[in-house]
Amino acid sequence: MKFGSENKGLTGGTLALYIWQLCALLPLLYVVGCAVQLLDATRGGGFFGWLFGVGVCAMPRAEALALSLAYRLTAHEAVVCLAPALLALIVGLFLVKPLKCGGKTARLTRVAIVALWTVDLLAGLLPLAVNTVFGWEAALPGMAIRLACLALTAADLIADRRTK
Amino acid sequence: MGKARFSVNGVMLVAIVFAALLLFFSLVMVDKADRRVVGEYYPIEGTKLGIRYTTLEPSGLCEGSRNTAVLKVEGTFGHDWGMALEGDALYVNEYTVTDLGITMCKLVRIDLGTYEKTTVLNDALLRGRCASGELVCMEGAFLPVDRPEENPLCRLYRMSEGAFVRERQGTAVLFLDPGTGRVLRRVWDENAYGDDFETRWIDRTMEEAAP
Repeated sequence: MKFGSENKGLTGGTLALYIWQLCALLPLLYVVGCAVQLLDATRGGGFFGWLFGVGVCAMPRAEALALSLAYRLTAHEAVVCLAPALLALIVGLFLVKPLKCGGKTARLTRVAIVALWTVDLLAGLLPLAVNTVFGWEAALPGMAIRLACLALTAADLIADRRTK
Repeated sequence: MGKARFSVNGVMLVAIVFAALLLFFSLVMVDKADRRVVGEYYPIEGTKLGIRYTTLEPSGLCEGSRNTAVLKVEGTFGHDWGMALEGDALYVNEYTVTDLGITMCKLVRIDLGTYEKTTVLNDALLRGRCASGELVCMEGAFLPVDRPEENPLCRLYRMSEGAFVRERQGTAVLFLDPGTGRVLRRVWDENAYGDDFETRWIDRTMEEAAP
């Protein structure tokens, strides 16, 4: 893995995107487990329930809140948990090329991503129900994942400045 | 065959399609194949009404006896956790069941003259009347989940409820004026799902239970 917009291939920014995409599958894993009756939806959830929490906490706060609102309105876990995975796939399809193509496009894409993750992380520090409802056991790993995504993307920008 | 390129987007696509198929077969097809017939009728004392719950016809509030019931208000209502008659109004729980079997509740008021249904409280479970006559509800209740504060799906649901306030531990017990449906008192209870709920909240007056 290399850092910097001029590198085409696996960079910090693309790795951050992949991490975020794979975390979007964690809530789906729990819902599918409950649907096929390997897990009991009315119980605490155990390890897979914790993974569900980590997956939701790893999402940007706006996305997590939208997911919760969608669940509240539709009462369909299956649809609600497929939505973040679909969103991650669509964003991945659109973002991979700008991140890998190099040059000014990649640089601007990274700046936008870093700005959004920074705002999201600051919002995630507020002691509100939207940030603490899953408890510290899921909120801390989720925040660590978001911080890692920010750090990886920021590393590309720093590498760009050094090469200029 | 050429070299296959590893792609996270490809993995995502395969996972989503696989999950969607599994969900479709386990939730939709199994549900359609379920041929159990349920037909229950619960008369409401002091009235000519009853609550019908059936898989054959629409469920709801009916007028008449079990065999001659005429549907007046459609909905999945429950009388077992709590129901209250106040003059010409019936306060009862209305349930929504999710794909995975978690039941969400809301408190509704049905005018027995016009059969108009209004929502008094979303996300609340009526438990009955306390000794002084006020309605007692649990806020944020999910059935048959015993500890919704630990359940991941309940936590996801609660995330958007008061999302911008500090979260409290436990469940809020509400006392409502039966005439207007207005919340008179809200008390936090860390053991609201315990077996002694009735002893602590229903068998006492509002002043004794929530001074």
